[in-house]
Amino acid sequence: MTSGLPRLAILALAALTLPLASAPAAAQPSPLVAAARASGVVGERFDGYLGYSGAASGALRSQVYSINIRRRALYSSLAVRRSVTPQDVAIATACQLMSRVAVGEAYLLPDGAWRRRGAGQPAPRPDYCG
Amino acid sequence: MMIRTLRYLAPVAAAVLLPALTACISVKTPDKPIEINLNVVIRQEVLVRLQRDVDQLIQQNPDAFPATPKPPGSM
Repeated sequence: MTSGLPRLAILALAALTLPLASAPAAAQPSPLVAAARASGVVGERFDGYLGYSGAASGALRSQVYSINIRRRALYSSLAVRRSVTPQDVAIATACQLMSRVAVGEAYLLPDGAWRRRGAGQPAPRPDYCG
Repeated sequence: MMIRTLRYLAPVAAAVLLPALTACISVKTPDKPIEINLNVVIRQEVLVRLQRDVDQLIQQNPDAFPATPKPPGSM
């Protein structure tokens, strides 16, 4: 019973430090989204945002949604700094992201069709990307 | 006298207040996914000007642009 108080103190300390320790983990790329990308369920869209080529769970959708919200904020702030529209930044970013699509990953081009990069195929390069 | 007046007024008050309570704003969440604008209009000059900024944007924000484990162009 004498160890009750120190144990409580340790628990309180652990409770205080746990959120601090887990905070950087929240900024890490989500393994759920990473797995969905690798399997071609989630992919890059030509408009600079992530999309789904197939059925996605609610948890996956909410994580993709928050990534897209973050992207929109980034596009908007860069657009203001460079006096262009957020859509300009988004499309320019999409051109870069398309060139990084790995084998097996899905992508959406302006024709509205989802495709997957097959083995031996080059990364997608829309003509307007120059 | 007072109580009797109240008894007559109660239904009237209810008739006035109830519609006011039910006339709340209802926000419906869209059940359709966000529509994708298929028109890509971007000037080459803008694209070229943004290229370096965009590279930085992607590299400095891995939370928004998760890097793929395999390097691009690999088989």
